Amino acid sequence: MTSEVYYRKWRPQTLAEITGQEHVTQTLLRALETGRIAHAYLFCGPRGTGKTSTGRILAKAVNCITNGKGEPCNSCDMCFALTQGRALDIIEIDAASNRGIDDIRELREKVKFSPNSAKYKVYIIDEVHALTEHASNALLKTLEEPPAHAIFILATTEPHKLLTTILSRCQRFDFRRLTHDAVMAKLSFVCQKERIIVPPEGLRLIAKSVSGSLRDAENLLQQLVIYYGNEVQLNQVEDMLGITNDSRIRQLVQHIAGKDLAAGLSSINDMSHDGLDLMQVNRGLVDYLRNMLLAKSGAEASLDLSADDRAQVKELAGKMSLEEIVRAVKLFGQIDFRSRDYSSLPLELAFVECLVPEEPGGTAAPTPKAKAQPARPASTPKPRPAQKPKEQDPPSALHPQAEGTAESRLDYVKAHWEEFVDTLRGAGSSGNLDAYLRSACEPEALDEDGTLVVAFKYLFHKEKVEDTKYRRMIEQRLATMFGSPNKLRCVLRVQNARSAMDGHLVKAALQMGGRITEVVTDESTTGGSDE
Amino acid sequence: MWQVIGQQKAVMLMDRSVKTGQFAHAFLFTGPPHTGKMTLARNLAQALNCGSDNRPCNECSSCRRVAAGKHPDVQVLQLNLEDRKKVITIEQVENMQSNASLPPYEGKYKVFIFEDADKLSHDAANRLLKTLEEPMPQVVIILVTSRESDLLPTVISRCQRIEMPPLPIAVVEEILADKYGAPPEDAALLSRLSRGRLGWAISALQDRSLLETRQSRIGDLLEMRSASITKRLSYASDLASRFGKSREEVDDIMELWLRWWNDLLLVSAGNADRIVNLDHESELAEQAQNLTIPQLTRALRDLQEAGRQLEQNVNPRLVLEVLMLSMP
Repeated sequence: MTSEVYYRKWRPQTLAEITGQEHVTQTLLRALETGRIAHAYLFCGPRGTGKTSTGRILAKAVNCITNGKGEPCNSCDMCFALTQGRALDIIEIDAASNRGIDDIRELREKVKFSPNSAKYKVYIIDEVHALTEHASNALLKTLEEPPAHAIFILATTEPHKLLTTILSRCQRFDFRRLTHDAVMAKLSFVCQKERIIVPPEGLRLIAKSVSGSLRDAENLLQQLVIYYGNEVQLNQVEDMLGITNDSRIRQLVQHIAGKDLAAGLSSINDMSHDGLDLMQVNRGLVDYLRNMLLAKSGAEASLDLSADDRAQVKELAGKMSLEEIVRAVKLFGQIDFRSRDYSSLPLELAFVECLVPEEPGGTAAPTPKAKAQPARPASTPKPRPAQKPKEQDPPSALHPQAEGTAESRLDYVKAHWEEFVDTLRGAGSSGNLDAYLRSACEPEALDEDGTLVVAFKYLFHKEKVEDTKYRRMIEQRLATMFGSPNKLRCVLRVQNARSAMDGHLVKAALQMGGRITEVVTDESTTGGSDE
Repeated sequence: MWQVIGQQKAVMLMDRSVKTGQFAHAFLFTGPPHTGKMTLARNLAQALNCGSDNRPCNECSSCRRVAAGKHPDVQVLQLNLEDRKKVITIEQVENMQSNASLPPYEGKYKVFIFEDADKLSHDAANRLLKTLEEPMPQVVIILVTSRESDLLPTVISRCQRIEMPPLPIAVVEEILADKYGAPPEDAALLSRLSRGRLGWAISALQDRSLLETRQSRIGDLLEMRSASITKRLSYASDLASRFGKSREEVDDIMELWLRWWNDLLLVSAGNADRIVNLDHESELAEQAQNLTIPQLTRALRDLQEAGRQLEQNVNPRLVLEVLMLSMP
């Protein structure tokens, strides 16, 4: 005979025993006491939080012979029959196995008959998200107005997959992930009943590693007991969970702080060769770095560490700058262990990148914008009033800047570009003209004859603005606001790096003996060049 | 006698479970390929139905028939290759469920082993949930997978999860040398290449063609490093067409490249004694001289990215061409 696993053996039998879902159990208890029981409930929440258990208890509570109001007594015939799963009027349906419309039709036929012996006929429909759409629709009418003796309890982990029409017909209860304390409380209850001795820190470690699912926690506890017997030591729990001890992680952090590439790589490889779980190593590492981050940024009070550990964390934090720590947390925190191929490469890469920053111009090829920068001196151009302006337009008093060199005037235009675009609000192209100018372009250069060159990122915007009537409109406004420039020329500058000469295709073409004769700013927004 | 080598933790756990009678009704064996998951699953099925004291004995008729796949109460569910389906279908699960509702035919337990449980279709997995949580007494379900992340969390949470990680390299080396009489050089190389998957190391020891394929692939890689763009591109399109026929082959090649670049990184960072491709030490050292560490990390990231993209069904030819072009 298989001994029952803990999560079945210790399935709660009263609402009070349901751990960590007080917001649900309180409400249900009150409803039972006052006799206001809804005809349809929906329980949703992550795995192992007590949905099916609550459903069964509720079914028992409404039918309990001795009490009938509040908790089930678990001693009357009805409760007993239900616990053993042989009550005729409590129908537990696995919606994933009976998901078709025919199954629901059958249910609808049977729901009409009054219960055999119990007060209510309770349908517990588990995994209800697996019903087909037609089946869900077939259920709607019954769910809305079932016979007086029927109660529906739907349970699912994926409420987003349910039809909204189903959702709106049920009283919905959301089950939460359990807190560490709640998991620990239940585990120590099981330990007590099963005469198992596990140190509280061990239980805490289990609680930490199961992300709020009680069933997972009970499974882990059982594994521990099978493996180590009824007395479990803390280090055995650590062993089972594959938690690395602190010293090796600290060593690795020391290598990061000391920028010791060779030693760090070799200690990562050692850990991997020794069969440590690198995912747990990484988790510990990120935790440690986070503690350093807290220490560094002065939030020492929130460090949950012993005095010794704290001193060590502080000492290591002293060796690194805040930026370096943040960078390290990011790099290690981003590692994706989902593929679980047990390779040490992700850790190695993160470590190396932590120490050796990307080469300048490595991945991020300079954008054309950045390339254009050196052409213009970065220092603020000095206005040179001695030089006479060359444009034909008489400089108006309103626009003193018009007197400067082309460069300084361009800067002026740039500084006031947003204001200028604002003045166009509501004008032209069903009032959208300003939008074309706002986000998609920027002033690029100013020609001697007062023509403003505007660089567009996208062909669409450029074509719109180039439309003669809109261009006129803009030029007029330019003249009133700036005096000069008063003409507009549009060019296309594709922003991303692909347009530059370093595209894969261009490179390939060059190596195959091609040569660049002309760089065409391609009209089709992708940009590129041809030989 | 449990036949799984290494994996002490998992084996101990199973042994104690069977001896104390405290075992779960559902197990999940997870770990990379070739670590002995299916062997352990069969062993467990034998142990559950074996009559002798030292279970599993591997000798009684029941054990022998389980090993031969002929026991009426032990059923292995896997991809139906005749149907050319890519998932374990809902019908297969339905059949299994109706089978599971009957008592054992002659043994003590009905055992259902899902080989490649990650291949369960979404509906099939949902269908399994209730059975997995509360099956009939005398039913044990074993899920075996090397891609745990593809399983529903609700499925995993219903099982006793037994992880079978790769073995430490030194252990593999020792087993190869002691139990299989491999010469020291082979043992060192194969244990590293296997990355702790003992099953792979043993088959490579017995079947030299695996190593020969590797050599020719390394040859390709070396050639591509110095080849012209034209050659690289034609190699990429060649790979892409092979990808169409067998994903595994291209995955293996990418894996090999990853290990190669990883070795280069180790050599450049002063860890030359930890490389995997022991037999190509001089080539590695020579190549590492001409490469900077940022170049190496970029190449590795590119490779990883390409692998991810292939998994997400990006056009393989494009992915591989870009990869070949960006390779330093």
